[in-house]
Amino acid sequence: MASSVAPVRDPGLQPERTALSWRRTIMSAVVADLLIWRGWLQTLTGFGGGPDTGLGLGGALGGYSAHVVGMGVCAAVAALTTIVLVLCAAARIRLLHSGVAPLESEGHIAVPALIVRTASAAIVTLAATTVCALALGM
Amino acid sequence: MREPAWRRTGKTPDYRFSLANERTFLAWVRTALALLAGAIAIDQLAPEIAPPLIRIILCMVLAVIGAVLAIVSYRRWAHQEQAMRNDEELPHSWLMLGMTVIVSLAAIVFAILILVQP
Repeated sequence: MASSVAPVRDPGLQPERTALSWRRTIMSAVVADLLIWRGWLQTLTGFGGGPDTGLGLGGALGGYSAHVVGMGVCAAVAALTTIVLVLCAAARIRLLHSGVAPLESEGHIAVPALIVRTASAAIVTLAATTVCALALGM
Repeated sequence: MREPAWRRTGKTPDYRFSLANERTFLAWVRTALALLAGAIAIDQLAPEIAPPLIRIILCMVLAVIGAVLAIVSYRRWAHQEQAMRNDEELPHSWLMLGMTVIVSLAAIVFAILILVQP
């Protein structure tokens, strides 16, 4: 009876599946992040062999070993790559959830190359950060 | 930034296919992220698995494979869409065979390390 009305959902739920795929990717990135942050916290609490400065905020940067600062930089860069990935995913999910109108004009539903490139670059940066964090742990 | 030139060639593929291509890219990206997380997790949570130098080299190899996989997954995404746009056969890729071999090798190496662990 509603045959004259265009279907409001794609039968294969393609946009929904793609949006969920982006969300899973963010979760994977956060897992890698948490492990790098954990490594930094361990150096802060003196586990990594540096001076036992504790979590006190009194010490100037000079009070920390190069090891702690290096791991801090790794943790910050890891956080940055995840923020970039989240921004890519947010832009993409907003487009995918913007209704069926963009689906009709198929040219607009395909992912912009910029988003794919930025996401790839973020992962490569995260990998470089991982290598640095591993090297600092030596 | 402009879209790459190949995006203006041929015809725009059916959105179901371009979205499936996007999801395949994301699945490979998650594989890369899993390699990165695995590398850091082994280094931090299993420090006794091997002598420090061997452990760090193995973990770095995993992380570098993760970086390469992120680049390869972008290239794969672009090549698949180019093929779809020009109605060509989807390009053959050694990525699946390569990753199967790499993951199997990693599993065997770490299984041996766990077995010979003192």
